[in-house]
Amino acid sequence: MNKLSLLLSVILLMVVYACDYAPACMPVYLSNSFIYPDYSGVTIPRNIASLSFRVGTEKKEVKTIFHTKDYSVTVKGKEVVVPTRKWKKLLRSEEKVQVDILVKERAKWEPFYSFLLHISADEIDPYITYRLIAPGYEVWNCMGIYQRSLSSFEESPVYENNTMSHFCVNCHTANKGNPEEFIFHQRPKPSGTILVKGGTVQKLNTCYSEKIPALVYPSWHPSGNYIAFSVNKTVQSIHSADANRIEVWDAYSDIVIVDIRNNTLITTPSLMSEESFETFPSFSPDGKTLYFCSARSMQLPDSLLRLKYDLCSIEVDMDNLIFGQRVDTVIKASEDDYSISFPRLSPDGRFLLYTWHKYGNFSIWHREADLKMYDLEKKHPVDIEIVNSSEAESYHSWSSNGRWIIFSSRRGDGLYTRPYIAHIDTNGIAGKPFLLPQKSSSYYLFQDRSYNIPEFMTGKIKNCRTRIEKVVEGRD
Amino acid sequence: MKKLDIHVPFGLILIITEGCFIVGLLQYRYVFHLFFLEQYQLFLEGKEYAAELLSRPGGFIEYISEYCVQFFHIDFVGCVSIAVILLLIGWLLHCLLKEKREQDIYFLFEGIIVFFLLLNILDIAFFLRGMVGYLFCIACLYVYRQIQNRLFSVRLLWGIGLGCALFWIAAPFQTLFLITAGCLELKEHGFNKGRSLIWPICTGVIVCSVYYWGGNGVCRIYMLPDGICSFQIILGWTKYVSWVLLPVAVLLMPLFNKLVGKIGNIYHIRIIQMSMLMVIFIFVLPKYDDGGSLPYKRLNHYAVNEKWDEILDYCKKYPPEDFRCLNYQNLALAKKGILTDSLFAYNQKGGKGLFAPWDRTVYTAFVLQKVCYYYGNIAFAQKYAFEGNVCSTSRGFPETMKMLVRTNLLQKEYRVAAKYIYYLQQTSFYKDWADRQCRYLSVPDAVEEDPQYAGKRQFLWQKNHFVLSNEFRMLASRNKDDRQLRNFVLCFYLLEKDLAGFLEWFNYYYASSEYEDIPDVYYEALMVCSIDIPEVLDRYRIPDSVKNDFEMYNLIYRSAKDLKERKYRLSLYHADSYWFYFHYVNKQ
Repeated sequence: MNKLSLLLSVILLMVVYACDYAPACMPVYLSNSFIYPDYSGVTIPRNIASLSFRVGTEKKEVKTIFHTKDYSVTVKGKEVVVPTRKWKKLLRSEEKVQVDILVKERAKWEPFYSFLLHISADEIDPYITYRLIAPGYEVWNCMGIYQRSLSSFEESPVYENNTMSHFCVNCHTANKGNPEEFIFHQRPKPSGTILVKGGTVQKLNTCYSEKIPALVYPSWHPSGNYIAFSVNKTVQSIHSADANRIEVWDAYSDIVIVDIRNNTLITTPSLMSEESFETFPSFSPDGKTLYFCSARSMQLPDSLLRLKYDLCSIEVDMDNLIFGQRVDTVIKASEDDYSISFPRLSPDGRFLLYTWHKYGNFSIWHREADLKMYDLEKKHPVDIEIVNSSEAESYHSWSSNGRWIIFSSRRGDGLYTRPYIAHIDTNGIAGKPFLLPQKSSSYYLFQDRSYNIPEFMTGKIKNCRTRIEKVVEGRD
Repeated sequence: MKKLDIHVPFGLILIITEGCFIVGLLQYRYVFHLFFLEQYQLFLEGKEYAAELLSRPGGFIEYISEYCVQFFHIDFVGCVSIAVILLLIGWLLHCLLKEKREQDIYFLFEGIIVFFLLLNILDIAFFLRGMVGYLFCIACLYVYRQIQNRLFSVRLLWGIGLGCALFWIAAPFQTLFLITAGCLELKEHGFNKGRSLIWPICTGVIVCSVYYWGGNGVCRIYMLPDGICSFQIILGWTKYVSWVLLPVAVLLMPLFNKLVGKIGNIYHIRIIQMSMLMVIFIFVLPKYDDGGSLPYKRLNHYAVNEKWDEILDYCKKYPPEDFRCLNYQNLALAKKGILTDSLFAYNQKGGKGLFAPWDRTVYTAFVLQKVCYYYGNIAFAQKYAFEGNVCSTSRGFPETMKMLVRTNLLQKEYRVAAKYIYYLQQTSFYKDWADRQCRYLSVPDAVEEDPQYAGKRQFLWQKNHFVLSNEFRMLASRNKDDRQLRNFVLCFYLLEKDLAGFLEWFNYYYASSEYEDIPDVYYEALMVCSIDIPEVLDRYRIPDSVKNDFEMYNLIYRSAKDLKERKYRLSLYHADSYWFYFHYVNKQ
């Protein structure tokens, strides 16, 4: 027993020694601001988890004071983490929190940096989902779809491929954020679409024909009975000398609609034209209009720089399976020499949020990609430059009350995508976005996977992981 | 003078012998596998990595084993560490299985279990934590055995405590512990009104519950032996032997003692056991030790340490057949500046020996990233480094991580390079290298003073295009004066036996240029071209020595009685020539 104890002690010492090895200092060139992540001036919801950040100073003694009229919290040290209870108390009643950072210089506390946190009265959905995947080329390894509580740091897998590494899962989306109605795709063979609805998990065989071997970008009809999908042949290549490392385009694309009650495919020639590439379908909140992106078909990749997607729409009556006679062009991006992807309407149908970039459709690999908004009611663009950066902003989605958006951004280092949340008021004015908070400020430095397809969820996806696993692995 | 009467216990002799044998075997035959184990992970010494691993069941043994494996970088550390762990397991097993002091003579079960654990570690898909976890499990069983004389309730509490502790620090070994604890109970106390079955029943219930509630994945990771292997493989029977044999050994030990005890003679018993172990060793080890991958691992180690001479020496003695090994061989030739001079003095199998086909595996990524980087194909070097890194179960691998730093620095992606530097700064053996790269983040132009970067920026394209499979040729056409690229392209065509392609590029380079010292192998190829295109002889002044050799070759070729004699006689005098390769080597 004594020998065993000695052995255990040696091992524990090894662990302690190893853990005690201080990691390298956070590279200051990762952020140009005084704090990392940059939370200065952001608008946050009342129930968001504590915003942890690190103060970028060489001074040894630092303290940060968060205060409102009635309450204040002081945190010592460069790593600023407010305990949950104190944080919630801070955010409870006020509209603003003043944050003052002080450093000790010659035995005196001097102000270093100050900023405000704006607290919005608008509620935010309690959960988000996203996929974690390395921002790579062809190979994938560990990936999964996860859900995260916004009021805590709790993250749990909806599905992870850590037992069957050859499965890729993608394009998850829920019907209006409903945690009991969502889908995602499974690749490679046996590929299909996993549908969770009405308490059941099933796999839709989506290999309808040679031309429709698999379904890609989805959009739920608000009734929950139909999902519009794009059908794409995606090609990837590498740039030799371009700010964008990778280029992805569709050799062809069309849009189909699936009646998920009986897995029947609904097509219409307007959405499957040979003369154009149709993709990124998006139903309007009332379900009467289908928005999508469309570009004139051309020889690729030779003409890739000329490939510009417009935003179009078509009227639909899904109850009677009637489609409009004509396709309307909502935004003629090609005329202004740019391209549009991921059109998303706000829940009240007023604002249209989309991704703007110079050409093509795979915006995450375009550094110039930005979010833009269009007021469909007043028929003019809305300035939301505050949410953009010099790096790619791409996939986005609305909260259920239309007051928050979550989007993917590569502003951190230009490669690894992180989720940002921004407030949108009733007039479409956007607040400064904030990075999804984590327990420690160095979390994103350490995270080697990208956050893909972030979406709001109105509740937690209850434990159907085992059922999903069975269906994905074909053991159902 | 009194005679010294030194009685050396047999057990001690066995341990020393076994230890030396394991160290010798690993160091002599599998040392490059151990080096490769170190290359196959990236252990980070920071708090975040520790928190990530230690916060999940089984993370403790994962952390410990990765911590140990990082030191396999140093010669002998790997084999000694593994030997020590195995000997500890063997000794504890022996203490666990031994019933009486006189029974120090029995070691068969221990020997088989230790052998199969050793066999498993030779498989890259089996992680060292499988061995470390086994050690913890045996230790807990040993403790549990010590309390067998206590009341059942005390044993029950201890069992629960040890099982929970094992689950947290060494999942999935709590399953093995509980099953074996049940066998211990059966052996020591018999049926005991069913109480002895409590552990196996509990195990079954727990495993089924986890399977039902947590799913197949969770069950495999935390409850079954699969949890200590890569999920990319289907476990073979050798992975289960140590798990199955342990409870069996505990149960059958009394019977084994009785049967073997009838033999009577201690020495005979020992010899029989040794013989059985030797038989298992001789027949099982060669079949399951993944010996086929050893050449690749050896060449990879040499390449990582830039031991190009060693690569060439090895390839001369043991001509490689695998494309990845051929890539290392030809890269070594290029690095030594003798690619063209000695191309056919080494085994060749076509153009893929210069640049292996991409099969989406980490082994190919390791080699392709180096080849691409050497020849200035920075975009592809980055791609393969990234693809290789993605295959890791941790943050990446040392060599791919370093390549990502290099390529991102060259492409002026400083923030991304900083991220990878940040990882490497948290390692023991790559921290210094990472610290040196830090300088280039703030002084980018200093990169040109560093030999590993010098001259690489010239290969970065000014005008963009999509990088295709013929990128090397594009680079070669743009960098006409670069001798390495020139040789790569021309040798590629030679290896592919594409004489039209060779001639086209040869004309491009040499028709109107003043390049001197054209390698003989190109002249040899021109002689072959001249058969169909006689003007080649007028266009280029081929040395008389090459012409004479070609004449000799033709003479032998024509004068041989049959195909077999022809090949034999040609191999005697022209084995290193392009002509012999052209006629007799099948490119794959």
